Amino acid sequence: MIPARPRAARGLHVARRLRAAGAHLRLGPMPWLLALAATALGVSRLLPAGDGLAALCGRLSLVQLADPAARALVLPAPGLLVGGWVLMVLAMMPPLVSAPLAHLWQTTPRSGRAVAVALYGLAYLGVWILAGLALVPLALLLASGSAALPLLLGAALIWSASPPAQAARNRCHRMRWLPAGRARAARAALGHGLAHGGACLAACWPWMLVPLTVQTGHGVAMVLVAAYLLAERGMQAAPALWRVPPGIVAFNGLLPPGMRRITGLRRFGPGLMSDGFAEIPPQPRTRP
Amino acid sequence: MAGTRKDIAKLNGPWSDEMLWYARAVRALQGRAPADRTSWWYLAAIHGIDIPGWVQQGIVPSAGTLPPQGEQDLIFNQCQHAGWFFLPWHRGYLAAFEAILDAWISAQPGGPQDWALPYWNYLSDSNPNGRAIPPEFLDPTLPDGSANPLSQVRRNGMHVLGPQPWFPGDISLSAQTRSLPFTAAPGTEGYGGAISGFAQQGSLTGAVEGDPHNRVHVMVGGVQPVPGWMSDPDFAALDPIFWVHHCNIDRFWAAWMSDPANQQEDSGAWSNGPFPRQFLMPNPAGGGNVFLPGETLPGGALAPAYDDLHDGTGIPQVVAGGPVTEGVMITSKQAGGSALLGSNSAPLTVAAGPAATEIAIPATAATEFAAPPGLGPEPRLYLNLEGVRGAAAAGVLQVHLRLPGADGGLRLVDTVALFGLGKASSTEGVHAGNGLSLAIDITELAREVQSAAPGALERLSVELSQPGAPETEITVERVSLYRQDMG
Repeated sequence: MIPARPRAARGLHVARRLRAAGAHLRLGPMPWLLALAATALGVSRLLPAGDGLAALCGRLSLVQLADPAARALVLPAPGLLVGGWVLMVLAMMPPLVSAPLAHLWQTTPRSGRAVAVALYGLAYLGVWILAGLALVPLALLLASGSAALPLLLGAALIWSASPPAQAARNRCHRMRWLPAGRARAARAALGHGLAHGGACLAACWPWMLVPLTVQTGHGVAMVLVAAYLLAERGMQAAPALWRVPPGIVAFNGLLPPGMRRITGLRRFGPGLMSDGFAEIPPQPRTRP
Repeated sequence: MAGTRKDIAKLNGPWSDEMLWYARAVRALQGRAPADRTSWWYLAAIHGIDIPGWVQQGIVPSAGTLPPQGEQDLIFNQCQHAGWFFLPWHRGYLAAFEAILDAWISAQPGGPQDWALPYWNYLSDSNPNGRAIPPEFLDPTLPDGSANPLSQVRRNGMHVLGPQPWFPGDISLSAQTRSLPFTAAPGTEGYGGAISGFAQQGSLTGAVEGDPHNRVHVMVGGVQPVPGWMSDPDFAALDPIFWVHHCNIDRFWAAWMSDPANQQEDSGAWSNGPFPRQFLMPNPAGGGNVFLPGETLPGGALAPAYDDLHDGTGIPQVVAGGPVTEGVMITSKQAGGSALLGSNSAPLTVAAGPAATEIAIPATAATEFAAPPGLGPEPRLYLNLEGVRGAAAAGVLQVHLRLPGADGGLRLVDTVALFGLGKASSTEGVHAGNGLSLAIDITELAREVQSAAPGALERLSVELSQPGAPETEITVERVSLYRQDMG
């Protein structure tokens, strides 16, 4: 029988959960991808203060955005905007493709691994960078005022809970085995990257608006959102139904109790929520 | 507390006390509501559940009788296959099941206090009838004349395990008797499977999972006219024979660990379990607990006790009359490095007729397998079927190598049981449609092929077919060859 855990052992349980997380963060290319993300985050912090992407959010109206003269007055050089967005993508997205990159590496001949991974990565990042053409203007418009953060965070959570987002996450789990032949393999790697980039964009796009609402602590917001998206990516595929956002389910047990009350998991039992450990309290025996 | 698990054939049967209490307990659990965490239906759904299919077959009256979606997301659809958590997850699952049955049995008037789940020893050395489904799972009634819950199931397969026209292969102890690492390198075989996260269908099937586990599932469940419950992970645990089958698979693992020549995986990523989703099981009080793979190892809270680790396991008794314990050689050991040598260039579709394809590998790689093996560690060669998909719940594939020339002929590589084919192929559920993937060690066969037809390995001709009269297609995204260093 699986033993019930006494309260004294629960600290140990959380420590083991963290060790499990740590062990999985060391698997495959994840350490390299985390290093890439950290580097991009560091470089983005070096951008001139006040000219960064986050500093601009909410300063524009739709009229200003449509008027070239007004836009020129408010916006910095396009290069800085593009650079800010690319760095944001590089700081948040690479860890999400650890599993497909490991799969590609392991299932491709040694002579073709570097090309396959490079093509996949370029295609994946290309989708995200192009998405900036729509997402950055959207953020510039929406991320205004003190209500922007809770509103966009709520919208992102609702999106994560929705069937289309789950269907997109399912496509992120889809793997491909590259065929023999350099040209065929290259086309397949590009297609795989485009497909995963598209699926990832469909699953995560509202979350990318959230850090843009935060001017003080923009970097911290990027890290928190990236960690949430990584947890969501780590959850298995599931039928495309309305559900508790998988990232919340993933962090359940490690979240503070106040946060847990918004997850909808309370109905699983008060013990689960009050203790923060995945132990189901006894239920009344029911008969048909 | 559960007692020692015993061989059904060595109990005082048919209808020994142990089996009679098993049947009574199954009936009691079947009387509980589907949302009751100790009900038969809830326990089976932890392995896997196809809700529309269950409602259609009348297994549950409606989806509304199941627990809320949030609870389902945490505890249903947990079974771990084609990855290194296959064995520990099923061990924890058996322990939870056994504890719930034991709690009910020990509370009954006259119920034993040390009941334990028996095992079906289908490869027993001492029982020539071991391959036959134990009669308790076939009798329509219990000795008292009441309906037998152990036989009220959908089975369309064999009553005696062994080759049939629709499954021209057999079960074996091959996983037990070969020298295998626990964890498989990519494209190779390991006893327990490849590294995986929380995965109902991971990237590569382990050796003991492929044979005999998958084969027994498909042999008992069958594939036509429709697959029985045992052939589909979303229904399999509804069949009471599932539990005695898995008890024997678990005993295989216990026996494997008892052999000092084998080394059990114990790295942090394995022993602390997957992240973020955890392994969660109900307890007899209707509560639940998380368990970790490390707790299933010898000395852990979930390590079971068996009456015999040698009869029918392929693991000899090292010390005659010695204690029955699991192994002490628990270390972290990875398999040797592996790499893809070559693959075919387009997906294959296997319908009623066979489908053929070719794999080209460098001549230097092929010559490695031309000479007879030397004294030192030799590289191994694995034929992989990757991304095997189909609409049927289960399937069977025969794999042949075709030798060049008009009279080259076919050499059988293997007959594989595709347990859970449909579930693994669905893009709507928990598998993302990645299908099944498996590796077959063809090192010795490759040497034979090279010897019979020098150069044949450089352009290896592979033929896949479905035996019998298949009604649905099976597609294979890629057929490939991997090489593994064994030094």
